[in-house]
Amino acid sequence: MPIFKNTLSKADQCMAVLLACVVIDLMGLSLTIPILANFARLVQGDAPGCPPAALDGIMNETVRLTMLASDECQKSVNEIKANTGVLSTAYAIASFISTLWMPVFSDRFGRRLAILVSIFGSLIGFLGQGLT
Amino acid sequence: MVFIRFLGGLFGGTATVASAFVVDLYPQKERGKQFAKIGISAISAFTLGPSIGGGLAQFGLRVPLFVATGFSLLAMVAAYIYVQNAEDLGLADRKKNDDLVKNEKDVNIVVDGVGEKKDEEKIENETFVAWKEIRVWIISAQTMFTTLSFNGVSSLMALLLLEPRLGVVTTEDSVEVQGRKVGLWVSAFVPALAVSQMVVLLTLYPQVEKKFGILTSGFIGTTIMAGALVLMPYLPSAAYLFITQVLLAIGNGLSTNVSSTYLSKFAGKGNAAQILAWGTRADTVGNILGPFLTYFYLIDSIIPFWFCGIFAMCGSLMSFSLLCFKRHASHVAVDEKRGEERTSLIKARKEHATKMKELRELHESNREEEAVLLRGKIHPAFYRGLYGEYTEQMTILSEHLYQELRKKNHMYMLGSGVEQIRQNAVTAHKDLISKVINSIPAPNADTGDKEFLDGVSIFLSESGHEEWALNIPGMTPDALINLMKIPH
Repeated sequence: MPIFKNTLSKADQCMAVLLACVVIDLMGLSLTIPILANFARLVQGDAPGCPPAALDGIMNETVRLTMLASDECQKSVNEIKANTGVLSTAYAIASFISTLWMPVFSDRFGRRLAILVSIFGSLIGFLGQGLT
Repeated sequence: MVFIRFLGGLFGGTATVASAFVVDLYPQKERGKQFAKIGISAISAFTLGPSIGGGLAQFGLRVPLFVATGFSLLAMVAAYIYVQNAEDLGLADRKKNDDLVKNEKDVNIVVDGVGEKKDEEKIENETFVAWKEIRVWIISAQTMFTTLSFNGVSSLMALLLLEPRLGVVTTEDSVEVQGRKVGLWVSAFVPALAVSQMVVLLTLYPQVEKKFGILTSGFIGTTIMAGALVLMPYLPSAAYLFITQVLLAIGNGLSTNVSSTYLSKFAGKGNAAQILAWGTRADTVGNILGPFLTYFYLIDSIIPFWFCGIFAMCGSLMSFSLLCFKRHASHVAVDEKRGEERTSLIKARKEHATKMKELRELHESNREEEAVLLRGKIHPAFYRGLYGEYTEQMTILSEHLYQELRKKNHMYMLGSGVEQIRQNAVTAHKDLISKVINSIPAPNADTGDKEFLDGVSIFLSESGHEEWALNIPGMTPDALINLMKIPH
C-alpha cells in the first residue's frame, strides 16, 4: 500500500516551492555576474575623461576614439572595474551575515515567516537593482 | 547600489531555512535525499544564473533583474500558499518521535557499550586539537588561496572581455551594447567551465588522486590554475579564453576536494564537524576576498590576473609544503600508539556488535514463536481472512482506521520504525479511537464478543498493513492480551 506517497504530498509540495526559493535566492549573486561591470558603469554615469554615452552617434568619431584612448579615460574605466569587486563582496558578506541571523529568526518566528521574509528581501534586492 | 546588493544578500540564507524545513518535514531516512535536492538547486543556480543573466541581458541590461523580480513575486505567492510550518501540516510529532527513537538508541548504546563509549571519547579528545595543528592551518590557507583565485577570476573575466583587444567589443559600441556582448560570451563560458569541471571531477580527479595522492593532485591543480590565470590577460582573442577556462576547470577540479579530504583524515568521531568547518571557513574568506582582486585594476589591467595567479601559486606552495611535511619523531610515536589503541577498540566494538546481533536474532526468532502461540489464543475476529464472516467487517474497520490516520498525517509515524512502535505503542488521539470503535457493529452477545467493544486496542496485524498496533496510555500488554482472549 503506498503509505508514504499519498500522505506526504503536502510536505513534497512545500519542498518544491522551497527549492524554487533557494534557486531564486542564489541567483541574486550569479544572475548579475555577466552584466555587472557594464551595469555599474551605466549606474555611475559616464566615466570622467571618456566620451559621454548620451552623445553616442552624434559625436565626431575621431574625437570620440581619441577621448577613449586617453590615459584619463583608461584610468577611470579601470576604477569602475575595480569597484565591481565591491558589488560582489557586498553580497558575499551580507550572505554570510544572513547565515548567522536567519536560523535564529526562523527558530523564533517560524520557518514559514523566515522563508517569506527572505524571498521578499530577494525581491526588493532585484527590484532595487533594476531601478537604480 | 552596493547598499541594495548588501540588503538583498542580507535576506539570503534561504538554503539554511530550507534545510531546517527538511529536518521538520521529513523523517531521518529521507533527509539525505532532500538535502541533496537543495544542493543540486544551489549548484544549478550558480551555473545557470550567469547564462540566464547573459541571455536576458540581450534584451536590455536591466531585463534580467526585472525578470528575477517577477519570479521572486511568483515564488513568494507560491510560498504563501504552499509553505506551512511543520506544526500546521500536522507533522509536529514527527520530530518528537524521531528524538524519542534517537534517545532510546543512545540509551541502548550506553547500556550495551558498558563505558566503552566514554573510553573512546577520551581517546578522541586527546588525539586532536585543530588550532594547535599547523597542518590544519596550512591546508586552510591552501583552500583560501584556491577559492580566492577561482572566485576572483570569475569577477575578472567579465572585465577582461570588455577590452576591445579581444575582439568581443569594439570601441564604437555604446555601454549598453558592450554589456550585451559581454553577457553573451559569459553565458557561454560559465556552463563550459561547469561542465568541464564536472567531467574532471568524475574522470581525471579520481585517477590522479589514486596515483599520486590528494596533496599532489592539489599541487598540480593549483599550479595549472596559476598558469592559466597568468596567461589570461595576454590572449589575443576571446576564443582562446575557452582554453584557459578548460585549464581552470582542470585545475580547480583537481584541487577543490583536497582540503575536505585532507581535513577528514584528522576528523574523529566527536569533532568531525568542527574540523571540516575549517575548510568551510577558509572557503568563505576566499569568497569574500576574491572579488576584491578587481581593485588591482586601479594599477593596471594585467596586474589583477598576475595577483590571481600568484594567489593560486601560494595555494600550490601550501600543498607542496604539506607534501614535504615531516613530523617530529616523538609525535609519530604517540600517533602510532593511539592508532593501535583505536584499532583494538574498534575490534572490540565489532566483536561486541556481532554478539549483540546474534542475541537480537535469537530474540527475534523467540518472539516469532511466541507470536504463533499467542495467535492461537487470540479472538479470530481480529484476523482478516481467517474468520469467514468477519473478514469484510475487519477490512472495513481497518480501511476506516487507515483513512482516519491518514487525515491526521500519522501514517508515517506508524509505518516507520515498526519495532519501536511495537515496543512503545504509538499514542493516538482518544477521540480517533472511539470513532473507530463506534463504527464496529454491535457485538454478538451469544458468542461473547462483549470485550471486543469494550476494548480500546486494535491489532491490524494481518489486515494488509504492516504489523502495528494502537494503544492508549495506561493500557498494559497484559490487559491487551486479556481483552483479545477467546472467552471460555
